[in-house]
Amino acid sequence: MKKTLCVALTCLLPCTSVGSLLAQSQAAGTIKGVVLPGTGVVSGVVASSSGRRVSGMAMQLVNPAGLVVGKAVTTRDGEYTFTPVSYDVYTVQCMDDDKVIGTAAVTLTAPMHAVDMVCTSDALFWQKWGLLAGLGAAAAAIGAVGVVAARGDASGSR
Amino acid sequence: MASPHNGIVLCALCAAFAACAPAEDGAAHAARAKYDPATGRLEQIEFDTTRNGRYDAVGVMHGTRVDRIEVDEDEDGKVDRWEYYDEARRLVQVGYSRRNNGLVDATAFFDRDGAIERIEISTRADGQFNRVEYYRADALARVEEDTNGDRRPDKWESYTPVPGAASGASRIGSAAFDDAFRGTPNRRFVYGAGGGVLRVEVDPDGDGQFVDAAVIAGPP
Repeated sequence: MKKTLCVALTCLLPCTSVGSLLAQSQAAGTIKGVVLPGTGVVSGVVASSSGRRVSGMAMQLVNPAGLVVGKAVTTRDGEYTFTPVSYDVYTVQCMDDDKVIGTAAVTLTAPMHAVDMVCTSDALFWQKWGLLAGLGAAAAAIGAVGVVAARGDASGSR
Repeated sequence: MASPHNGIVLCALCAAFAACAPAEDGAAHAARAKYDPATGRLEQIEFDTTRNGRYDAVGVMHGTRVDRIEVDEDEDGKVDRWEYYDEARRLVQVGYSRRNNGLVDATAFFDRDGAIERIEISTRADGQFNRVEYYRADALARVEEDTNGDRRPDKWESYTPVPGAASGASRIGSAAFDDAFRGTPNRRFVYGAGGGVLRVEVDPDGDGQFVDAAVIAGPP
C-alpha cells in the first residue's frame, strides 16, 4: 500500500509542478512562453537594504562562464522574471548604471526558482539619522532636564 | 551625586538642543515627560518630530542619559526605527523595521565618528541576521550572506571605492559562492572596472586556492 502511494506521489509531483506552472502562465502579466523539459524560470523580488522594493532595476542572469544569458527589469513591485533557461548554476545580478550592486547564486533544477535579493542601492539611507537634537529641544521646551537637575542628581548614572 | 555644575551643563545642553530645532508651530503637540514616581528620575519624553499634532517619537531616558529614541515614522502606531546612543550621546546603533511590522529586522552600527560600520539584516525576518554589509569610509566594502539558513555564509561580495566618484560610491570587485553549502566558496566571479565578469575562478577542493575555471575545464 505504502509502495503504491509512493509511486503515485512520485508521478503526481512532476505533474503538479507543471500544472501549477501552466496555471501561472495564464495569469495576467506573470510568465509567458513555454518551459521545456530541463529548463526553468528564475524570478524573484528585489529589495534594498532598507526593505524598499526596488522598481526599474536592470537585472542580469549570468551563466557559469560569466556570460549574460538573460536580462530583465524589475516591475513597480520590485519583481523580475527571466526567460526560461536550461538547468545549470547561474548568478543573478542587480545593476545600477552598469555597476553590479548585488548578486545571488541559483542552482536551477526545477521549472521555477524564486530568488529574492537585497541590492545595496540605498546605503545613504542609513546615514541620515539622529533625532537627539529633536529630543533635546523637546526636553528643553518642557523643562524636563531642568527638573531632573533640580531634584539633585543630574549625573545620568542612576 | 548632586553637583551645581551639572545644572549649568544641562542648561547649556538644553540651549544647544533648542537652537538646533526648528520653531514650534501651532499644530505641534507639546512634548510630554514621564518620571519614575518613586525616584523622580526622568524615564521618557514623547515628542512630535513632524509637528502635525501626533507624538511620533519617544526618548527613553535613564535620568539625563538618553538610552534610545523610538520613532514611528509613518505614524501607524508601530515603531519603525530605534536609535541607540552611548553615554557621550553619540549615535551608535539604529534598528529598523524593514517590513514595517514593529520588529527590528535590520540594524546599522556606527563608529565613534558617526560613520557607518556595518548593517546586519534579517532578510527573511525570522530573527536570524543572515546578511551583513560592511562599510569603509561610508562606502560598501563587502557583504556576507547566509542564503539557505544554515547559519554559515554562502555568498561573499567585495567592493572597491570608485575613484573620483561621490562619497559612498563603490563597485563590485568579486562575488564568491558556496553552491554546495560546504562552508567555503567553490566559485568566484572577478569583475572588471566596467562591471563585466573579467574572470571565473573555481576552488573545487575548498582549500582556498582559486584557479581559473578555463584551466580546470581544459581546452574546448
